[in-house]
Amino acid sequence: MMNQQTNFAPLIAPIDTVTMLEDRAQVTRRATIALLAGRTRFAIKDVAAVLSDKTLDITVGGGSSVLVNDVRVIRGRRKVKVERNENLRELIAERNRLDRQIERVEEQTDEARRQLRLVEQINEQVVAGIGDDVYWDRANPQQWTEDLSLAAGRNGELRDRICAWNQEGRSLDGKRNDVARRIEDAEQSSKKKNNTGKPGARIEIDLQCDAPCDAEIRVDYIVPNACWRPYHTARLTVPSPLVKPKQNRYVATKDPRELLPPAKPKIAFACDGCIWQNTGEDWTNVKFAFSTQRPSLGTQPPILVDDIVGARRKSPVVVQTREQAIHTTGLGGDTQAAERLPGIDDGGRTVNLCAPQRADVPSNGRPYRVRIFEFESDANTQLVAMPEIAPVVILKSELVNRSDSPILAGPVDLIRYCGYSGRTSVRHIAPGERFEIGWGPDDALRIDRSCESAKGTKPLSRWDTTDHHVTIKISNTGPKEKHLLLTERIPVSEVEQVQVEALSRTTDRRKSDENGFLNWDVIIAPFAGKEIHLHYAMNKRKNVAET
Amino acid sequence: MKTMSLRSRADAVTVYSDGARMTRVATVETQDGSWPESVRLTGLPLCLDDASIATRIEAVEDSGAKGVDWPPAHFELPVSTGARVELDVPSPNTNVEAPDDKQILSTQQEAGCLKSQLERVEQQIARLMELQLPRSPVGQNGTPPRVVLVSARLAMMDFQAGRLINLREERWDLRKRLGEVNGELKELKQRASRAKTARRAREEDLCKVAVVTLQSGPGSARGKARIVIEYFVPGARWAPSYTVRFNDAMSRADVAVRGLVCQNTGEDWSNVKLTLSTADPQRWFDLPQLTSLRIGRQQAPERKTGWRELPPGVDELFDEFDHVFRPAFRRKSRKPKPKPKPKLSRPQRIGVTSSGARRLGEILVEWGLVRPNEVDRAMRIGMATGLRIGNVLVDQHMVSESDIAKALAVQYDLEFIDLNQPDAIDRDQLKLLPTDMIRRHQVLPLGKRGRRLVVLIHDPLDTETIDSLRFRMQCEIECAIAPRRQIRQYIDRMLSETKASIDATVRSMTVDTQGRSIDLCSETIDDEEELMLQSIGSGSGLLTLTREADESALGAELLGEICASKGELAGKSKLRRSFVNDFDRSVAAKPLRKSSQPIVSRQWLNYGRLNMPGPGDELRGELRIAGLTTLYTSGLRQRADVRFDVLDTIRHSISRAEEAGGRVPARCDFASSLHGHDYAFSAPVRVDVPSDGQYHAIPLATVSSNARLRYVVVPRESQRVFRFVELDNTLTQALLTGPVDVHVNGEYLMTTHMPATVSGGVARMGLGVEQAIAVARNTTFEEHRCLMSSTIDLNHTIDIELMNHLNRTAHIEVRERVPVALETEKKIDITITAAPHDLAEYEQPEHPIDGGHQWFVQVAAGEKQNLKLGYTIHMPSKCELIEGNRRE
Repeated sequence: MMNQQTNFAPLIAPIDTVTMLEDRAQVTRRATIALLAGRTRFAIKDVAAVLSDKTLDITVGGGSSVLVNDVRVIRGRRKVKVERNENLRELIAERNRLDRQIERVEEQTDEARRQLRLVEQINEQVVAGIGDDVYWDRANPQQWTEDLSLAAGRNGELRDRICAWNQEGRSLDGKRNDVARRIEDAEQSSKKKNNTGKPGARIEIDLQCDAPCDAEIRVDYIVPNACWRPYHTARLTVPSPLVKPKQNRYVATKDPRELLPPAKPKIAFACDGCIWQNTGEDWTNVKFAFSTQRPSLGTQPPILVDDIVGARRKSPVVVQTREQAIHTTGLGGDTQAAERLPGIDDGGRTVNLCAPQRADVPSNGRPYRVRIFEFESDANTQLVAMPEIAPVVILKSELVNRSDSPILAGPVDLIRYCGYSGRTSVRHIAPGERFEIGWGPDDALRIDRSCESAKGTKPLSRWDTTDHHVTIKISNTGPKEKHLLLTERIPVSEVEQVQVEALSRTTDRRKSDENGFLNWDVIIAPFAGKEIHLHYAMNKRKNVAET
Repeated sequence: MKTMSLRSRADAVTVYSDGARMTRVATVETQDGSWPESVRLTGLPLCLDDASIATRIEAVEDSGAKGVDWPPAHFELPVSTGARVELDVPSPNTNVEAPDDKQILSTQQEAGCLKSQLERVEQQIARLMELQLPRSPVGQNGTPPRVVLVSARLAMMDFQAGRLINLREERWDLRKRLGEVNGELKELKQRASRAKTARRAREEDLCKVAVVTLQSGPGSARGKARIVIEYFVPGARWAPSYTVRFNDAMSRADVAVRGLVCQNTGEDWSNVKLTLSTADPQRWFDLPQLTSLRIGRQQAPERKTGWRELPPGVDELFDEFDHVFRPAFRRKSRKPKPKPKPKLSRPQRIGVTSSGARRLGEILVEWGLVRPNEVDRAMRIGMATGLRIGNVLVDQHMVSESDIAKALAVQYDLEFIDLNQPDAIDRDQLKLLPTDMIRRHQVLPLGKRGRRLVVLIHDPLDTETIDSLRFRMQCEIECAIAPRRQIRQYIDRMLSETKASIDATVRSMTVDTQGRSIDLCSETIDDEEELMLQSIGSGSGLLTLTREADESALGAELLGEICASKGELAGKSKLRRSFVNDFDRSVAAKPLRKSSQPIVSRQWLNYGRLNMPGPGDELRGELRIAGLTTLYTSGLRQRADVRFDVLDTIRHSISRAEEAGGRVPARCDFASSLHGHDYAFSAPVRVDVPSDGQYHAIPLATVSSNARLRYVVVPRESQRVFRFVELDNTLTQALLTGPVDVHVNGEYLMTTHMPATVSGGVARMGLGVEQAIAVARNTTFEEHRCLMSSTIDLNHTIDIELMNHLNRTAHIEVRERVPVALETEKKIDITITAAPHDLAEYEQPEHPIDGGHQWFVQVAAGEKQNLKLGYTIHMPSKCELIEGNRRE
């Protein structure tokens, strides 16, 4: 199929733009071509075989009217290169040549062996002749030595020659085996190549125009097996990492964890598009656009429905404890393992992002990062602990999305000053929104949280009381003083049948805010520990059932 | 320059209660004005945790550039943007160079020639040896024989001898040369085979490599930087041990703290800064998000945003590709997907014609509950939100749940059961399904119909539930329908009833006679601990427990309650605490609803490991996680010939590291948290800890502190006086539990146990019995009947005599107990009548008691001291005490 390229002039239309979607990519190729009047047929070669024909679209711009007669995709396996076959022929010739050589060597060895046998006979005869000479009193040791040396010399010569030929025969045999194996390989691979060449495709375009003109051709198509996901990098730095101490020498600040209070850290946040593609065509020097737009999803607004209110007899109060997020900055949880990487949520609005620079993404299925935008923001860093959720003290930084584009959900590589320190993730963050990033646990600070509860029932009361006592022990195992913000929570009741109150035995007599949070600023000296106690009582009417 | 391989050295180690964090350092230098794009830090242990790698880059002052302003103006450190772990073997030994094939061939040829020549010489020698003297001349026909020509014969002899000598000489030469050439050949062949195997990786040489990617700013750079890499290795352990040296009077002591450290991680720690911490190793945590906990009337859970499902239809884009290249695959994948409805309507009664063709909306319209346009609207919403039409209608309060259930029953011709009817369900049949399944799937068993199990379910289309029931119960399932809310309420009621009945049993057990109940509890608690462990491991373990405990099966919360109530009696145990903790948390964070939004696990966020398979692959079109083996060996295979399972080697290395220190030194407790706090000790100098799985003692600190010798006697239980030494902890850290070698005045005395003591606290170490202090205890008892008030006084007197035979004053603590009346017993009154003035209440830490008392006395050397304690038990005269009136 692929070799029927008659009448189709090759058209070089490089990939100009690739718009990455969640599970596919739209590829745009552009070319400018001088058209003659009449019918012209072009073929764009080496196009991804996976391209979807339904999505193939061609636009021809130019001065005069150009008519597109036909566009189609022709697929086929890429042919095994012809050089292979010539190579094979050469190899076969080489094998034949070697065969002849081996035969010649064998003939010569046989001849030398025959001569050697004769020389040995001569030697025998000479030795036998010595006896006769002595018998007839013709002792001539000089002659004997000469004769024997002559025979021995020829003998040695022949033997050397046989040896050499044997060796040559062996080496020729080796060479021949080598060539034979290569021939076999070549034959097999050429067979295989004929069957399973790499899938390829070409686009054939049939154009018609009335007058000669320069036409701009633009070909758009969609390919599967390509996708993108946002991938971010956050780098925590101080404005001037090099401070000048007294001795006229510079010392680099080692670690932002040890920053002195006046130095306000900054975070450089960069958003990359991470691209994977295995479509069969390499994208080189391509402008990338990233979109969360979903071609297969409707764009209709949601439907409003009535809230019909009805009254009924009072049922027993069923209350429910639920978690209510108060301030969503959104961080990916770690609870349920998805079986595949889900799509990107754009927060309801289609996001189109463009990479400012052209980039290359080869078709090998591996991730490539393309920078989309970056911004710098002042960062407020603080050690925080929420022992109810995680028994760790985490360095938290608060920053603002100072770019014009939203930050989409994705992993964030964390770089502290110069060092890679881990990976976290963010959810969707709108432009200008304040958000938080966790920089991992502080190794020196350890938290132990225990909780005890005691149920009490007063005989005549209609209330059930449960006393809760939460003990949090913080230890500083490091040599530096640490300052951290500890947050605990107590439930907030929305019904009058349940009442929750923090008791005065709580450390610092701290009271909860309207959302039930209690905060403590804790300063821990080196190698010291602290205890925080939270006491609260939950009073519940006896007719309240909990689900 | 692209990649640079660096050797790193161990710099610091922090050993936790299990495992250690290593810090290694390597120095990287700029070359040709730029930093390398990545550096490979080789020689890391196989057992390291790949996910724990963190890097840091520090500037290194260039000592060679003295006098130059350092750092130069354009000096800029590279930024490490990532780190990944690969496997490696040391590069093949370059000394072993494969010999040239030609060389071997020519040597072989030489050897062949020599052999052949040797053969020739041997042949010639043999021929020459065959040379005999000619026969004696015989006279012919009467003529006299010719004379024997002696000179000619002698000439022949000489010739033969001379020739033989020459030939033998030649033979010797040839043999020698042949031997040499053969040796050469052998060596060549050995070298060839060595060169061949040198490329083959040896299992013991395998190591991990951290590839740190560096990013540097534009422009040229010059200088040196230190790359610090940290990672976690499992299995390293430590335990504290002490040596205390007292002076003669035992008033001062030198305390030496040692850490016994053991590791078998496969990497020797040499010249490292060592820190020993009691904390558990820390793993990565994302920033937690604390939400407000609201108690209110039930509400639907909120929807979260972030990620969403992948769009459908990517498969269709492959149509043309498959048509040309994979016709077989296309046929397979293009099979029409089974429509959900016919498959889902399986739970039907046999022999009854299905009316499944009718739609739910039609039935509801027919019943006049909704209007057709409302149904249409609900369907649209359903399509947009993915909810079923029934749910949409209920959510919008158009119809009740019960009506939907009835309609479903008609639609699928199933039985509708109203659970509000008093005997809708036969209680005995509830045992047909385990409680965990009832709770999880919100279904109720109704009974058996033949071999089929009939269950009450709110949604007959929930094949997932029906399938899992079928799988668990190993029988076909038939459905009946009830509204979801009714089913849930019924289940809650049922479980709370069983819970209450268990509460009652527990209570009845505790009000039984005290002794028995404790026995009973301690037994059951043991059982339960075991079971708790099971239940943590799997849900089914719980089931077996509860079946034994009670006829009706119970839930996990119930178990927690039993445990908590029994725990009050049986004292604190760590396990209980943790369980109560969990229990509390499970109550607090109860609404663990499945969020409809996908949540991404960390492994999917490691984009470097994700791969897009080719279009010919079965798993094309979506990102896949590359397997560990591919990840590890992709680079390795190019460098060496690997003929073993690398994952197996790594697993083996991890298990070997974890088994290190399996033999805990005698009397050594492993570092445990001290009352919930954690401590860390740093070795004052750099130390070496080889990777051999043996314990190595590392000196940590030496401190001098005050000590006091004290004596304790409990005369009621034993007349022996126990020696204690009170040691002030003057360390900045706490003293952890561990063995103490006690020396007095330079001589070894004994090994005892160090109690956990906070900084500034007092450690009490027992030193055994002191024979030189004698104690005698005598008691008197009399009953005094009070005739006027018809009460009786039981007067007890205890006389204690202490005799100090030591040559110094002894500080003795005496502990006694006084009876305590039962709380419920209002008629008994106990008063202390005679007591030393400094009598104090004694709180026993090991086992709390109410009537404990203690007093401290000083007995001078060689003196005797008497103590007297009297108490009276006052009670009605018609009563008597259980176990007798005399308490001493």
